[in-house]
Amino acid sequence: MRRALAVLAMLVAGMAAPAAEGACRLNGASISNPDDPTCRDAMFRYVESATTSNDEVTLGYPVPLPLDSLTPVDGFRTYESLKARHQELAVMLDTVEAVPVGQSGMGETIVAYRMGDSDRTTPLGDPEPAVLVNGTIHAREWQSPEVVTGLMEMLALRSADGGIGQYLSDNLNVVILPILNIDGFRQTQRYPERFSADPDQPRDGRMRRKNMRYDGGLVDTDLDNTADNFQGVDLNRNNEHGYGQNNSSSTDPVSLINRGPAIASEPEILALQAAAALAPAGQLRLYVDVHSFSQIYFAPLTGNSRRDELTVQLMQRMRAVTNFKYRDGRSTASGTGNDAIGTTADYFAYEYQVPSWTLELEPLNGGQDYGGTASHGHSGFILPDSEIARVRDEQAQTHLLGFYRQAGPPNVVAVEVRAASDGQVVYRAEWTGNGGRRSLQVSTNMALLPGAQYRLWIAFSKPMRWRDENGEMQPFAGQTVGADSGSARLEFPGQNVASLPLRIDRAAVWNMAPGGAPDGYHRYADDSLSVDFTLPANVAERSAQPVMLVLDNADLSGQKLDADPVTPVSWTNGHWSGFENELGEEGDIGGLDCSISFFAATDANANPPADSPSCKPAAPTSTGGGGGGALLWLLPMLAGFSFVSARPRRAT
Amino acid sequence: MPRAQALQLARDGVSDEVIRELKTLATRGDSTALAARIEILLSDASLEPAARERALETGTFLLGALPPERKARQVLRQISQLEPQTWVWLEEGGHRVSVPLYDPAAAARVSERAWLAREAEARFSNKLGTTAPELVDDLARASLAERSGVISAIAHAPAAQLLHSKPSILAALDQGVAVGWYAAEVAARTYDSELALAAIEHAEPREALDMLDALGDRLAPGDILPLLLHSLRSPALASHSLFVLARLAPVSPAALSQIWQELENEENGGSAAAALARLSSPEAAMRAAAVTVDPDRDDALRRRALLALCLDNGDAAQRHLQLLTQSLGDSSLGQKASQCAGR
Repeated sequence: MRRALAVLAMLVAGMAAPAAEGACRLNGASISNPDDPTCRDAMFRYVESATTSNDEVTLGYPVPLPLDSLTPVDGFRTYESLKARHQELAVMLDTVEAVPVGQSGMGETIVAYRMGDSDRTTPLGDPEPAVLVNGTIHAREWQSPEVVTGLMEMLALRSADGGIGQYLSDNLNVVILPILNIDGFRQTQRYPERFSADPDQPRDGRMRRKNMRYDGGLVDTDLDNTADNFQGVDLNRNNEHGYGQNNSSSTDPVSLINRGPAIASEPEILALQAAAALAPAGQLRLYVDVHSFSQIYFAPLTGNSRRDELTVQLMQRMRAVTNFKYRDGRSTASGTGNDAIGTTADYFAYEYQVPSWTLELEPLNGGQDYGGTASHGHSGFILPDSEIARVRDEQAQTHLLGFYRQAGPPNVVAVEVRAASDGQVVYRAEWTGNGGRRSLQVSTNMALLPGAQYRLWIAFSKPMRWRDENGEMQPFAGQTVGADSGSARLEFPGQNVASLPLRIDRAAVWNMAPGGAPDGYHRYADDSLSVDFTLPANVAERSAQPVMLVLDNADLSGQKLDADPVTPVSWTNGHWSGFENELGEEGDIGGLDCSISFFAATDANANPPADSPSCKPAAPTSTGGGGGGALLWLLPMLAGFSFVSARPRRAT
Repeated sequence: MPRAQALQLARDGVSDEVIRELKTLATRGDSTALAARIEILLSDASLEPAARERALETGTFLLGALPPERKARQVLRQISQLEPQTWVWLEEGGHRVSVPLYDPAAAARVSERAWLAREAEARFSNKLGTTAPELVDDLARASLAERSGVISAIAHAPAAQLLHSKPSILAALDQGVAVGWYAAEVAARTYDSELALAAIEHAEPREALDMLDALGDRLAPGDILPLLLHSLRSPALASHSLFVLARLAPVSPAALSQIWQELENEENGGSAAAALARLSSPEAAMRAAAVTVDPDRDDALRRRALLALCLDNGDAAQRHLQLLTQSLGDSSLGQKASQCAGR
């Protein structure tokens, strides 16, 4: 009804008066006459409908007013509600930990939330990777705290879903700082309809961008005390790497982009760095700073070619989730670092060499995208109430994919083969952690008999497929990997027997119920598949012979298998490490997994052959025999195998 | 181009003069003359594009405030087809992403909606509160712009008159007709509990929330309480309703009692904890602390009681929190208490 009355007031106004215009002399992001009362003391009000008043600016939709509600609403929540929501998640769930990381200028505790299980290791015993999301660095961008809170809600809701959410909880340390610029944000919520200065460069009140500190003091919260309304530091120019460079910040304290007196001079920036330490910083694989508006990923390219390529790949995957309506804003000065301007995204890109960006949320152009007005180019900071729920949901989905991908490439973790006739396990192997390296523990290795039927169960380290709300297997939004993706076959090295394709490119093979082998999932829904096969009758006619499983698969974000599970994948200097293709080459692409082989023999009690086959070329060795020895005879055959001919490009 | 440069072009002396001229015509209330002048602007090549767009946008808003004469409609329709010409960098973004400085077409669409709203207001002013059978159908068919007009009409209509149509509105809601928004607006205007209850059931959540917010300040606790109890059963309304209950709690024992009751509710408990924290009363803090330490209570309830203390910055709550960190030790709940005390 408050909104209704505002509408009413505007609609009945029939008298023409000058439209809102200011008297500030704009100088880029600054103002030349900040002490001029006609500029400094000017006050304006946003209204919904066409107005001709001097001090009103038409939005064309109801002016959003913050509402008290812990649960999401069609609109924007108050700071107190958002904070209560974050703390509710932290107190109620053991998978959410609230950690104070600093104090704002006005004494508010800045809290980061660590989301994920309480240990810092994956189920395979490796250190958990981490991602960091920052929200509300710019006070007026109300989309940001809603979207970041939406991420928290999504992760909390999914943390025990048995699928992708649980996988993230077990394998990824998600650090979220939902409201960094608390003082500024609260100031915007004190005056949700009012702003000062000039419609062409609105400042305090609803349009405050900066924090509330200046020259050792604090901006007072009374909008009508105008003397300090222009003050404050732009926290997104206060960071190392680009600080003061590229003419994109200012020492002028009244500038919108005042960078502050020194690098990281502001308590909020120190709090962000403390939040990164929760990851810990060395485990980071992604940083996102959520802003609005203009619908774009501003991704700094640092000149580290592998990091830059992986950043772009991840960005494209995430952009695809919303059908590329968010734009590609990668920087252009790759290799020089010359376009850094001291944003937090610059800081994390250069300092930690991880994919890092400033995500500018909707709208693309401004309020006119939703039937409103351009409002001097600034209405985009005021998303209509009616749009935020959708934006929240879209971004939750987008980041679910991004987090999943950065949690690491998939690898095979266990394989089992059972005889169809009696269900006897004839082969069982599992990769287990061993002080930073893994080893394949083969617990059962009996002969497979020519002509017999078997069920093969293969488990991966993560959920590999996505299902819609009806349980139907579908590609994740904007992605291509679906039920019909992936291939597998059995190879019979050294024998003149054609390879045996295994039909894993269908939804029916994936296991969505618990229980493990032979028909259940391993740790998470759709992390394993079961497929039947009949061993060709003409294998191992004279002696026990190896049977090599060749797997070509990708996770639901399109990331291929780590072909050598011995070395766990990690992130080093801007790229994956321990991520090999089938030839054992490290890179960022992965490849075919040939790490599993069993054997065939006509005698059920036969011993396995001494050597195991491998996709890898033989390493020079003087000791033949012994477990895992290279098979020199395999080398000439490699060129004939399709999996070798599809050798991936080596990343540099 | 940089915003400052674009503004300099837009605010040149010529466009200032044009805008003064447009305002003079608007002040006279001469919609047709104003429209004719704007039409000339549309093809005036002597003006910088930025200056022309500024003048067009201003003129469009002026026109929207006048009666929609034929010429005015025609001109607005023309303007609504224009693409923005002046794109300015969001300088504060540091990345030179451009957005339109002016968008006369968007302004035209807003002005056209304002006309629709005013027409609807005039049309419905006499109808509201009647028992005319077509009223409900007209309301259900109203566009968003027309709804704005109806809402204006509601604000001006005598409350008693509005209630004449209450039976037909309630009947329509029962039959699934989409007039929940109207029930919410009329309930907020008339403080009618029956309509408010119907709005809670049938209006869009945001409409119902705004209604509850408005009624929470105007109705006596005894009148608003049944509505809030009803809305507590709606997942979309419950959380906000608990905050409204917190506003009533200092003067309404029943409201306070309900908040405590909701603390035990799995869905609403978190919001109830936040509502208790907002009271920041020593009594509430003591009771929350007692629930938190009681090992016979359900773990989730104990956590929600702890949450109430966490969110309460009052001295009493903070004292209890400190004591809890000691008494609960290293248990899961104790760790959560420590996290709260740490902030």
